[in-house]
Amino acid sequence: MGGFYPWGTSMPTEMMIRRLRVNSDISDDDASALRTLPSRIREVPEETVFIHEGDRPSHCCVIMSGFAFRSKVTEGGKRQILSFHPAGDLPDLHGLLLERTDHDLTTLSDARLAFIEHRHINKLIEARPTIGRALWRETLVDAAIFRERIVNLGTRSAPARLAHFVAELRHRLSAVGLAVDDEFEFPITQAELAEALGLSTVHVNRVIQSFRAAGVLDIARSRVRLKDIERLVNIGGFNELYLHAQ
Amino acid sequence: MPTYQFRISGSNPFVDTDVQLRSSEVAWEEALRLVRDIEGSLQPGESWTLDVGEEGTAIFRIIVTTEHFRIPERSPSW
Repeated sequence: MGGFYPWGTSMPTEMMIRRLRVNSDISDDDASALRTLPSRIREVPEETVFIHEGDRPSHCCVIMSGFAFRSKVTEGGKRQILSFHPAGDLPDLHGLLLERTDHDLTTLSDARLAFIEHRHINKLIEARPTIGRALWRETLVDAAIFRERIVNLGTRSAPARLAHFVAELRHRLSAVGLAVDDEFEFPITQAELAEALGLSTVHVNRVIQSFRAAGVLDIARSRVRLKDIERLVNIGGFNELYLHAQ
Repeated sequence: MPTYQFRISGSNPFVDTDVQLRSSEVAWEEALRLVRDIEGSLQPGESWTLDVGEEGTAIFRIIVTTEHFRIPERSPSW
């Protein structure tokens, strides 16, 4: 997997800086300051809940490699996957200000995670307001993505839901250099896709097979291959405005 | 885990023969969800059947039938 990425991921904050620069202007001075943040690195196997609903986190987590997802389990035992997070994302940034976590965070694949203590981030925000604004912007874009997901799950047909989901993922991965030649790694099962899209696993299989037959995309063996991006974007009604890239 | 088969017959037939689920109760929930997923594309006059099998033996059938009493002048917009 490491060979797929054109750069090293040894510095915990490198992908985070890359991610922040998608949405905000980060000066070289600010980037250097971010690089000084001390972190603790953990290799976490796939399908591991590393932050639980109800936890009181003292650290923020940066995904260095692999993927994580947020989810909630209903009183009936059904899991809804809420969002996916590739390398560079800080999926529990809100923990800086909200004391208790209101969902689970789980690794989708084997992942390398860096944990940075809140007090170090808070000190940096106080010293460098532009970093504070950039982190604030991240949480605003995160909320915009959720708004779009409500529209996606509440109004779109199953093929359009999947198409929109893949188009967004490709856009977010391209922004940090993780999608090359319209192909990217995304180690998701059809059952997990069903949990994310609010569909039955059988129907997800059906839609993927119809997309494969129509030459739109293929999802197999942890890789997504886009065959016809224009059609994918049209089917999903994807408009990147809500991602607020600068 | 047992293997379940989901077979949709009708205007857009589809077969998934290898769905691993915990129990027939979970298979029923999956079937109900599948009905909901498919009904969005149902057109007036169309009908389809969902057959669910457990290890090759039929366990459930859901039949959805529609009737069309009026011929619209233009394509329906629903």
